[in-house]
Amino acid sequence: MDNGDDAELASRCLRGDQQAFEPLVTRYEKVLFNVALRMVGNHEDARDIAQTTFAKAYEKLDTYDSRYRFFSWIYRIMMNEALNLIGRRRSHQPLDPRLVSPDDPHESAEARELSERIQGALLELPPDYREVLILRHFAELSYGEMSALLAVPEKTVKSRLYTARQRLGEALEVLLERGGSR
Amino acid sequence: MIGRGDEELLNREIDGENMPEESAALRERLARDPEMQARHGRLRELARMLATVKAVEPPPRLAEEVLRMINRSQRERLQRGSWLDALGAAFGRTPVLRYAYTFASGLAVGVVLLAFLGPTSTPTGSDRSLLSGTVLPESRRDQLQLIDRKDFIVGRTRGSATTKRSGGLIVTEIELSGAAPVDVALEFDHNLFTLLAFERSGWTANGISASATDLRFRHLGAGRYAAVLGVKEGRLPPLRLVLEGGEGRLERTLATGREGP
Repeated sequence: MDNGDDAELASRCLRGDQQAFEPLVTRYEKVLFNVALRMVGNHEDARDIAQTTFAKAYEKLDTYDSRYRFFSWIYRIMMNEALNLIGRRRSHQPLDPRLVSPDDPHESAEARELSERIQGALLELPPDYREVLILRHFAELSYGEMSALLAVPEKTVKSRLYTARQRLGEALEVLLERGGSR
Repeated sequence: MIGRGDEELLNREIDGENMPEESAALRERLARDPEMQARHGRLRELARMLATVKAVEPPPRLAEEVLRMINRSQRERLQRGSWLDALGAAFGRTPVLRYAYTFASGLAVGVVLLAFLGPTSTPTGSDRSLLSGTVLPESRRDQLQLIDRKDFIVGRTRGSATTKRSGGLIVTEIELSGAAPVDVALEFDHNLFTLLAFERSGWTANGISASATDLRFRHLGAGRYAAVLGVKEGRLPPLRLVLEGGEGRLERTLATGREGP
């Protein structure tokens, strides 16, 4: 994604051209929605988080520093929203069935179960560990990109990621053994 | 025995972050170390399982809903906020410009209001409508008298424009609705009129600019605008409204009350 283009669109919004915000929404809605969804495990909450994130980003556009990536900036807004919601909710909610590949009605029951188990295990992880796994596996960010995004040293990213995998592996022990024996 | 360094090497391999020589060294190690092999297999399996979780499409019309939220919030802010906020918003959201224009506009309006209305006519936050008379106090707003009204159609854009007057202030309201962009210009004699403020009901205008002789912006969608002009002299020529788009051009004059010879 071209940050120069993002910065130009943000600048146009600041000059009063509201339409310039639409390409930014369409460019980032999928990744932000998916990260939010994996963080909170609920379709409706993820939609609210994505909407609020974009609305807040628009309101605060004059605080965006165009020397940095727009995505990093809006991601932090989104993650704050997600963490606030998690903090408010505290208790776990039933897993949203729409988390499981709503686009593929022919997906096998086994694949659906696997998806549910993984999402359930992700939700059991502390947010910091959940976040790095989501960024690595669902947003496909590199260590360097995660480090910039989370504003922590790369060493911390790696450490969180290893621990997160360790814990996720323990939570999915049975599945891993089943898969390993194939 | 797998140490912290080995664990790091394995994780980096799974993430594609190892250098080619590190990957080669790891492959050699894996060939002769069953424990490393098992650990590597487990991490690979975990990554494979995570990869089976597909991305979910965001809800349809999310972007549309976001833009509607923003529109609503802007409208509410304009309705709730002080007239200075409204003026600031009208001149864009770049902080320096916003404050500069807001301050300049506020100063200009303040001077005119003092000159024409006296010191007891300070507006309050609760008695303002969105457009017409927004910068005027309630008592004065009621005194705005309709001077002229023009209805028009330019291509697929329909609209109307009115001029209202209260003493030394003229408020020109323009209402437009259409699917194609239209360039709007309100032109006036700089010797007789001074543009004090421009307001809009939403975010349907961009490229807003003003000079000593005109106010210009590009309109798209359905929106309302108001220009507040201070009058320098008693005998006034009409204002000129020009709308121009890909589908045509239109000019209308708007009477201001006391026409000049």
